[in-house]
Amino acid sequence: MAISVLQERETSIGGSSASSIALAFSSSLTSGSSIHTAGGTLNTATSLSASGSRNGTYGTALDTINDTNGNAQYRAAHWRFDNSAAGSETVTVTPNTSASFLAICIREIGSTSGYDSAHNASNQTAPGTGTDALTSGNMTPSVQPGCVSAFSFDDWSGSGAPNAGTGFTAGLTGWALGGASTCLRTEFKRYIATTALPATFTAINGTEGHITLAALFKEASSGAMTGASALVVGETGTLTGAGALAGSSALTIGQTGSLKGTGVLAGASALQFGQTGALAATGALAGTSALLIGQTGALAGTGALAGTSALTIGETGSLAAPGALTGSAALTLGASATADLPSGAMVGSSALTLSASATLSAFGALIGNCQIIFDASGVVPSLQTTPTEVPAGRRIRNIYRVTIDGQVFECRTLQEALTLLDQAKQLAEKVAEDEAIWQIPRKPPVITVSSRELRKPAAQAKREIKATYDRAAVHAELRMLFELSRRQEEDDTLLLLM
Amino acid sequence: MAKQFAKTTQLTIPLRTLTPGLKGPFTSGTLPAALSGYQIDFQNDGTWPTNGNDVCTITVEQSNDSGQSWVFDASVTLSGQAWTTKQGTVVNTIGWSVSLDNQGSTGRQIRVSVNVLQTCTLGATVSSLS
Repeated sequence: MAISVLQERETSIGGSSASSIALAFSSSLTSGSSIHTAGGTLNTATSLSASGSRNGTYGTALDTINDTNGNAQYRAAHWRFDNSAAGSETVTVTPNTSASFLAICIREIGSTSGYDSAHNASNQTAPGTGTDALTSGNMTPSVQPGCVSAFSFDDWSGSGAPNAGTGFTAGLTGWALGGASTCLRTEFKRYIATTALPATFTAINGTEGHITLAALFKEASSGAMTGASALVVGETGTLTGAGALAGSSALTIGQTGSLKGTGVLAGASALQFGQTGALAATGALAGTSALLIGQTGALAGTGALAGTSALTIGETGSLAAPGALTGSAALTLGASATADLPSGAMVGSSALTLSASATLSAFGALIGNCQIIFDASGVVPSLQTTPTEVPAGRRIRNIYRVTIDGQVFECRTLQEALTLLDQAKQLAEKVAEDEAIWQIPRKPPVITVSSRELRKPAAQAKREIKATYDRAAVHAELRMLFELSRRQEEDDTLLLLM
Repeated sequence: MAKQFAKTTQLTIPLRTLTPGLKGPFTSGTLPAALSGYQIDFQNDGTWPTNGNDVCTITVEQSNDSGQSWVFDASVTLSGQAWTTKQGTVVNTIGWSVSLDNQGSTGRQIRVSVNVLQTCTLGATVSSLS
């Protein structure tokens, strides 16, 4: 949310000396807000202080102006207080000695990460009525976005509150100082650059003195939603910032959502996207974070889904990052999915469940106790054993793959593979006994093996099967010749009888 | 142009001598919904203390539920010095104005309490500003 003035009020009294003046904010303060306060009194008081009922002292004034010109004889100051506690707040301004024409103006600035270490103030005796002729002087933001919060008032006769400067949003008018008309104007401007800028106003009475007080405040971004904060965004939402959603924060986005930032969703944070969602960050979903995306979802970032994080994507899903799904992370993709995981993906006891068509491609993926389940079609480009440490003196166990006429058989042991080859030979013997199939000469099977140890037995098996088939072919030819010979003898016998 | 407020009297506290102690509260009727603030005009009889010590603290509370609950709104502590204009002319009336930013509120009332710290003669007129 953009930085803004959430609420503001003012009060002032006329020519009775007062030892303090206090004013409550109309509404409870939002946690984390900044308070910008201005106060003034006749300069019979040499200093002013400000404090809050909830937040305590507001510290040293940012600026104090003592206007000894003309009819002024007025002293004004402004203060800021950052990271306010939530709840009601009454601000009190106290001069060091009782003085008349005491005044106070209070502003709550929301969605801020606090004062930006830049402020300025001016005392202009005859500013004229030119546009933006009243100016605080330049202030340089250290970051952007942020805002200028400013006060300006006619401190001579109070004959009129100045107008807001060009590009500024006018706030309240006030400080009647016991009279019938106001002399104070507040204003606000959000900026998105770090170039120096002043607070400007336009005077109504250009021949009277004016005091202008201004300060810069930073818009909240880094470290947003810490603690147990909750954020619900109805439709499109974007959250950008380092350390966002730390702690047990929860973020729910009704439709399209985007979350970008280092360390996002750390701790026990939860993120839910109703439809499309994207999460791109280093260390995203660390800790016990959970991410749920109703339809399309993408997660890309180094170390994503570390710890016991869980990721559920209702339909299409994509996960691409080194070290993704480490620890006991779980990934569930409801429909088509691409888990394009580089080295080391799904280590530990990670689990991957793909309900429909899915592709998993990575080197060294599924290390340790990982599980992969395809409910429907799935493609795993290569499957090979992962070397693991074994006690000294024991052999590293391999998979023995035997392919016969394109049909792959995988065996855990050499003996199992040799038995398979023996079974192939026995099958060939059985086939050879079937006379019917030998009307057409049969070719021996194509046998390939993955292990050097199996090459000789496989070659021997092929020779024996070929010999079996050759013998069967010779026997079939002899049987055919005998048959022809028998039929010839029958024909000769019939001719003699006739 | 300078903003001029339209004042409507809501409550009058007659000028009287007040002895130390809490006086009031003096409660207004329901204030207009369209309200930018209120003003309290104080009067004295020319005998206002001039010893420099605090004389009284005036506290205003506000209700937005027709007087069922009250919350602190503003206060000022007046001291024992003569009331003057900015140019130093002694006067017997002064104004205290307070803005309100929740315009449109219905069922709103204010009430005024005075904690008298030393004997004084004081009266007040409470007006709404719109």
